[in-house]
Amino acid sequence: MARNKRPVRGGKRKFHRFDNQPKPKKGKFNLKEASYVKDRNAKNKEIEKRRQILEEEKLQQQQNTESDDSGNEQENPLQNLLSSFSNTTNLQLTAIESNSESDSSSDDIEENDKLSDNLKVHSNNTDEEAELMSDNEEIKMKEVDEEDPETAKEDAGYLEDPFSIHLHNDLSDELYKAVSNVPQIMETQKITWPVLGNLICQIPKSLDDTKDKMKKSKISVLENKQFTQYGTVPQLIDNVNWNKLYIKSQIQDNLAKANYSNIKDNVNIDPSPMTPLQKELFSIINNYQDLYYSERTFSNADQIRFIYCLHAINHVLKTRTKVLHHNTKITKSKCKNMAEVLDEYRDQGLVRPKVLIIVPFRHSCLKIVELLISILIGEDKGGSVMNKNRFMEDFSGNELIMPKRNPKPEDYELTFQGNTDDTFKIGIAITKKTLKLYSEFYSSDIIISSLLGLRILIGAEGEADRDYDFLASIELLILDQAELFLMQNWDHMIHVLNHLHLQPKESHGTDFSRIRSWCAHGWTKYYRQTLIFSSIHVPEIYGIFNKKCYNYAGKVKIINPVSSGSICQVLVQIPQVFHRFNASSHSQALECRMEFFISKILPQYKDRIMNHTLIFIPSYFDFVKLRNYLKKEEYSFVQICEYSKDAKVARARDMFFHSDAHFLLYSERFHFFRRIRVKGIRHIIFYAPPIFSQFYAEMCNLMQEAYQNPQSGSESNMTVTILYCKYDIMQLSAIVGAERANKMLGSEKSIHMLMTGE
Amino acid sequence: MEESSSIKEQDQENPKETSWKDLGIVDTLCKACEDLKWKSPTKIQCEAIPLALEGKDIIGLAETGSGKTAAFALPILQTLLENPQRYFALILTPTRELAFQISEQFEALGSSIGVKCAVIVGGMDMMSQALLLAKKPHILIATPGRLVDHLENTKGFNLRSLKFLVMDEADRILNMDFEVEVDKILRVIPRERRTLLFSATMTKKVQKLQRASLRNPVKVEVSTKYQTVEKLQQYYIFIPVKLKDVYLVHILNELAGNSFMIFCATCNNTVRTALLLRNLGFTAVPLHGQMSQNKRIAALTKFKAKNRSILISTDVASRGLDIPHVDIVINFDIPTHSKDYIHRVGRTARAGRSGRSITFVTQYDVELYQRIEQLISKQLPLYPTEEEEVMVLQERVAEAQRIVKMEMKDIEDSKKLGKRKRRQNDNEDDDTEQFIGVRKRVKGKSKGKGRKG
Repeated sequence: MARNKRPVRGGKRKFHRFDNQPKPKKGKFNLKEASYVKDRNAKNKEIEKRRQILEEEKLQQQQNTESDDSGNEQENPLQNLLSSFSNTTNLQLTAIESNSESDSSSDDIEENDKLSDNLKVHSNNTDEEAELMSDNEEIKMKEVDEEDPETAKEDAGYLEDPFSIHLHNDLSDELYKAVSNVPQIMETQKITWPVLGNLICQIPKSLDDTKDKMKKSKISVLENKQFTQYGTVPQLIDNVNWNKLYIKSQIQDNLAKANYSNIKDNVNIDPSPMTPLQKELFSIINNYQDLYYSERTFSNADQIRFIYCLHAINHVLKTRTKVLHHNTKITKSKCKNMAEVLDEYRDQGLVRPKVLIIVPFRHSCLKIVELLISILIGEDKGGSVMNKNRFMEDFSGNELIMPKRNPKPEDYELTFQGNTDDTFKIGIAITKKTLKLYSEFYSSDIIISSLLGLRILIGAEGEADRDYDFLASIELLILDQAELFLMQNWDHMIHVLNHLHLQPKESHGTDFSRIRSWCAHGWTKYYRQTLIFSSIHVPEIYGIFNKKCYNYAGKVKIINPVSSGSICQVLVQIPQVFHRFNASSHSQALECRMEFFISKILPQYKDRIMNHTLIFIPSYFDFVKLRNYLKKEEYSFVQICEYSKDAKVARARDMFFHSDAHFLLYSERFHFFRRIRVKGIRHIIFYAPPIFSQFYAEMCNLMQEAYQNPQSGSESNMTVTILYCKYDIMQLSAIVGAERANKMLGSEKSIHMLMTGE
Repeated sequence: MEESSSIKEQDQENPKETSWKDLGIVDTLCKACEDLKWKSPTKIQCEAIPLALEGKDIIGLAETGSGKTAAFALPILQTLLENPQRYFALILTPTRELAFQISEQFEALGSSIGVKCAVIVGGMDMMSQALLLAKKPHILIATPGRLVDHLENTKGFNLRSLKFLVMDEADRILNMDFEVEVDKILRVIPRERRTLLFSATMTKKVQKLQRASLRNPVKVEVSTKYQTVEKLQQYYIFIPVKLKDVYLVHILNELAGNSFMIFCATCNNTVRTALLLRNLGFTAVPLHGQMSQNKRIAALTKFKAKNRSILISTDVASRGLDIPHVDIVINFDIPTHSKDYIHRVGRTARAGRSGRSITFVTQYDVELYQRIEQLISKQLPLYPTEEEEVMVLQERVAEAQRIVKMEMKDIEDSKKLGKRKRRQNDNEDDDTEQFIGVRKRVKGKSKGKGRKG
């Protein structure tokens, strides 16, 4: 019978569920306490009321001194006051807030009249109390701080700050349809800015705009809701005015100092606190749009880092101020009803972490944290950084030793400077004046991590202790030095992106009455802003930007044609033959390339005269495929890849140099991490155009006389061969220049020869 | 009593006169009813809706299949329209399936005015439900156990602004089964609320009703004595226990082509019977409280979609479920509570259709059966069978019984292999009738009490 089922079920619930949660169970319907709780509440209310009036006066004084405030702001203290009186007035208050602008003002006046009596009664008290309570000034000040006038204004429906414009409202049905469509329904616009060059803005827009007005006339129990607007095309910042950019006032003073190293060169010519590049990037970022910038260099790296750190801190601070403001409001108004928590007070995600920064090495993390500290705290005496010593210990030192003789190329030294460990993750919690490093993830605001560190945490399907709940409410994702992730493990990147914004498995103490409505709908991914900075333009990065970023505000990619390409750096005078092969799809290209290589290219190099041939292979999968083939066919070859042991590498190089091996298979990743100078190359076959275009020139230049074995081969017999197909356009144009690449792909001939040198 | 009978008469005299509008229902909701092809209100609706709109607490009693759900859904929606508010009404139901069914009704009626419902029942993911609650629905439909779980563990969720409390199948909810949970819920919802109780059978004990803390409730009874629907033909069949299976198979054979609901007393017996019938080539699917929620829903959907013609269940499916196409209800094991009989046979002959019910009475069940006859104050006719015809089947049934016995043993054994193994096999087949956890739970319990497992 079904009835014997109940006790069993009840038992299970009691004994098994949630016993691993140490969090205190919230009040279990304790009716007994209710009576004295009421007394206490009444007392508290009275105290609160007095304090309120004091504060209110203070606030008004403040506002009077600041002459620029509008009528709206003056309502706020009054509203605060109202909310402190009782629940009934509070209900009236809600009515005001939901009304339109014009109504609210007239209602307010009435409200004023009603309450003026109350005010008078208390005002006598306040004068006396003011002196009494002066000791407690600090506490009061703090509360004033927490009640943020800007937030209150926004709650009343005036959105100006791009942060609130982006995050405050729900998607309308039409916009949701446009955004969730695959591919998104977008409007594309091209603009040109002086420093960035060509910007392509894609903004999701629904096709039918008119219909929604028809629907609204119907009878409904739903409240009239304000929906988000479509994203807008970013406007270039002319003059940097921190207030107009809605930078939090508390960090404004620190910015000039923190950004000094970037602006010091031009400080005489241009007194602006941001460089032109920073201004343009920030116009996009502060517009809460996704950004893909593929022209990061070592010279502008610091400028870029400053911009996104500023944005991250600004974002986190705004989030915190809102939450604190609403906390105080809610405790004051004493409305603990879930239905009575106003929609404006819904300001949280499912979990606390809001910003995720993925960088390749510990050193990059160190630089970011240093910048965050200087932006948030600067030289302020009040601020503090927790666990700083531990951080410095963990994230510095452990440097690679760079050879003094035969130095590595400059870009190699810059890439691998500092601590190059790639397994780390760190949570950072930000409060008003403190920055706490190593905070627990679920109480952190910012998470900085390497790809591998994150991947280990996320784990794979079926693993016992995996956790990705902390990624549920990321609102800002920053990928800096994205090209290095290609050299680390791109699969991890996909894995991580697939685990963003999933429904958490546990609640982690989330207050469900406060989570944003769009969070509850599972729309967080449409609100996430993604910023990707890389130094190269490759299909992989471009792919995640197009397919894994869903920001409803739209995306901006900066794509400028490469004018000359790395072929201009080739110094040797060798004919370089570009072979094009046809492939109908991206996946098919792998097979076609192999086939083409074996049937057309390899036979030309079989002859004994053609020894000292290096085959340069960007992808490790291709490397394995080719190696297995050569092994099977019993070719004479040696191999160097990223997994080869040092001794093997040395032996392979030696055999190659002394003509003991005909071919050398050489992987791009090995070259990236080691940058050795392979000697004795007479012929190079690029199995595919290198991911890093500078390697093309670098490899070709290894064919200079100085690196050759004089005993074997001759200068007259040297070739360079490159295989490519139409899917390699990005890498190809980085090598030969965009214009030429287009010509080569468009032409009828499939073989092109370019000469360099002289 | 008098009032109700007079309305009944009136209803019969001029049935066309009463329309939704006459009950005081606003146009939008009238239209919603018409869209659902409900032409005119039923008796219970005629009586209960105007009272509910007046703002009275109601105890509603009406026979099965008479439209009780709409009788409370419409007034709630209308009050909600007048005064839109989130977390407006809570509907408590004893079973999960019923909760989903009520939610469907609310959505059908309320979709035009944008009503949002949330179903909070056990067996589903807590986190998804917490998110559902965070969307601030107007109507909550819940089973008591899971609701208490959320009240205790979901931060920020409470029901302090609730305006309506409805207990569907109220006698069952106010029963001992849900005592602890319902008490907890009643303690945290406001006293200033409206309470509606609905059922086909109602407890007479005043104490129980007091727990629901009604205020000056109006009792709306469409029929005075517990009644079963007129269009329902009820039979009994008196047989020895050992021939139950044979007779069941015989009846199923004879009435092949109809869809059946067969009620058993235990989960174990549903599984056994389902296996037996499947062995004999019937498309039978079991439904009981120890299946996982997904399997329960799957089983019900299959039966609803007529992919399976026989649903074998415990009393978990005895109340409220509205599956119009059920032709015959078979009480394979006689219900121990006579009121359950009314609910069981109420699964057929719904909303004006006809239906049949057959109750198996063995030598041990005579007393229980007499109680049922007393309750419905009817003498049921004997279901006619030819003993010789039945006995023809005996050999085949005996063979099947032996096979089933072995299969049941296998299921038992596989459960003994411990948790790990079972979890792996858990998703094998959504049609399997594994009554997961019986053994484990029984063991755990007896251990806790220090008895031998």
